[in-house]
Amino acid sequence: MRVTGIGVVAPNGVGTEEYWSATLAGKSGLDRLTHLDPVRYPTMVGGVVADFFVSDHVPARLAVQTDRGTQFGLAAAALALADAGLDPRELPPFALGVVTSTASGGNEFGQREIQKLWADGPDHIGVYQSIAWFYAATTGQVSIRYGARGPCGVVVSEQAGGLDALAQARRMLRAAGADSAAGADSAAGDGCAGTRVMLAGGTEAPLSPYAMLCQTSNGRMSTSADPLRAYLPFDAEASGYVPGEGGAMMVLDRAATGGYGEIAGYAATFDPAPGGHRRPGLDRAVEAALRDAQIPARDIDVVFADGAGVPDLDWIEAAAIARVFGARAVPVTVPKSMTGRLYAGAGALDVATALLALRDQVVPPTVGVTEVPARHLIDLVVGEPREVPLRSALVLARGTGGFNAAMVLRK
Amino acid sequence: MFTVDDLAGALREASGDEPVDLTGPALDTTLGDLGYDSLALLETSAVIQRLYQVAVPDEAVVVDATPRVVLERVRALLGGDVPTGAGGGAHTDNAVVIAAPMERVWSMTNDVESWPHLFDEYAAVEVLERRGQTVRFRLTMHPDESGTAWSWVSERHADPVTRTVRAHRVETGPFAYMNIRWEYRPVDGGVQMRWVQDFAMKPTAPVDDATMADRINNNSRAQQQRIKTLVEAAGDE
Repeated sequence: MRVTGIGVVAPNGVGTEEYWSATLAGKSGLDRLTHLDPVRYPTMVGGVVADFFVSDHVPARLAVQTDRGTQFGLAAAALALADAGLDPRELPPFALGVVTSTASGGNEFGQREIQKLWADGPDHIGVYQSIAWFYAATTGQVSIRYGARGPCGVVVSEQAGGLDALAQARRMLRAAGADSAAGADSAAGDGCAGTRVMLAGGTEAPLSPYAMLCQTSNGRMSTSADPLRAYLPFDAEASGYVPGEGGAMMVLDRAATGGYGEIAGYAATFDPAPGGHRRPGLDRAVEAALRDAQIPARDIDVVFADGAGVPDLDWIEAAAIARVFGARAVPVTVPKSMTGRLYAGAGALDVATALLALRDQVVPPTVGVTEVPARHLIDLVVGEPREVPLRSALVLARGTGGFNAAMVLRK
Repeated sequence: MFTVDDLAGALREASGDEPVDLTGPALDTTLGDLGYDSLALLETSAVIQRLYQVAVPDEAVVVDATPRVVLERVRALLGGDVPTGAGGGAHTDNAVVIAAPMERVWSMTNDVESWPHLFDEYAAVEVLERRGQTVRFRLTMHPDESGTAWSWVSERHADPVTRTVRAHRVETGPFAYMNIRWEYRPVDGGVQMRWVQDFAMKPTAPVDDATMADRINNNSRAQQQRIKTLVEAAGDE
């Protein structure tokens, strides 16, 4: 199950190599949010994809009927296909499938149409509202654009969604492999026999006023006005996270031998109900993903952490990493300190980043963090990239509501 | 008048597209073949509805319709397609609400062969030609008090999508012209069937415009009442 193409749309770079060179240079895409009234919205900093011009990436007829988050998905999918050198028109009709994730759907589009409803009446709501707000919009539009008639799906699991979507795509390719091994007519098959390639990932556009209001209620966002200090995962002064927009799409090919690397293992767990005495489920997810990959913890060369930026959640994650790998035994990094938390886009972008790290044998840095308190028993790569031999990487993602996901990538 | 440019403008706004040229062969190419999907056309319909303040049925702007057909439909809905005579002419407008479903009102009143029964003024009808939704037919009235059985040929175009009918006399007889528009509209209590007639008499005709208008008004009301009774009774069978 190899990743042969990557498409990135991120606050610090549109295009995979643009993003990667900015990330290695420690160039942050975080900035003051200028479109929100600071009196009414406590969040002052976010990761805006300022260099994204819709007409460069999305045909006009598609742009009019899609939310910004879907436009990111369409752009990232096109970039990933180009990177893989794959022309979907050359594939048999059922060879290509699509799985995406979003945590909030087409919230900006939806807000605009709801404003028309209350300002002008029901006759003024555009028909595209019926599809644009929907969580499935990106999968639908990408599959229509490329005639992808293989298995398609959508995963909604907040910030764990990006990893969960990639895992679902891997599951479908595995089923396809099992089906073709058993023969296309096998009763045990999932009907995926002809599927060879999946386009998968996640994108998010969570910065509309409506979406920001929904996030504000979780109480975990930073209220700092300083883009350099607002989001400091694992830092002694961590005071919350900042949201960002964008994400990544990837081409997974079950017939390929080259490419960036493979999804070697994955697992998802759910946290126990709050208030009980049972431990959060993150370390169980890590252990299960390692089992799935059939590799011992010591073979993991770098961990891309979820990096909540909220002291309690940082402690839970650092403790889980230390419990599985040992104290300060593996380099840990949070490149999303340069983008903000992209919700469903985050896991997909971290997987893309990890694959680029495996390619170039370098761990990208966590920026802004100056002091990791002693209670976090992790080796955080801060400030500068670190060149180390890399064969396998672990990516972690957690979603509000108890979602945990862990994915092992191998070069 | 809803023009081809108006339609192009509505398509452009709804599809987010570049300006589209609907003249030439495009005028008779289906909207689907021009690259519009059903959702874009539903939005086009909504744009026309908002801009021109007219109720456009969902079936009016669809992938297998051509720009020419859509233009005709929107014009019929806007009622702007009835030409009036240069020298003024006369105008009548009569309506009745029939307590019956649209489909029954539509099919019974457009069944031209049944008109000698549906109307009590016609003795005979002869269908001369049918082309799609257009029918050309000869109507013959019962003889009047002088013993004359008036007879003429009309052409009628019935569009079930817009629920409108346009008709005119082909052989105009004593009329300089006679154009009729029928409209069917769902209202509280059933379907409103409306007849709008625009005409002018020839100078040589035995009666003038005003006298004919009075005659048409009286007769329309009587016929509409009769049709209402017959169509409503058809549901009780």
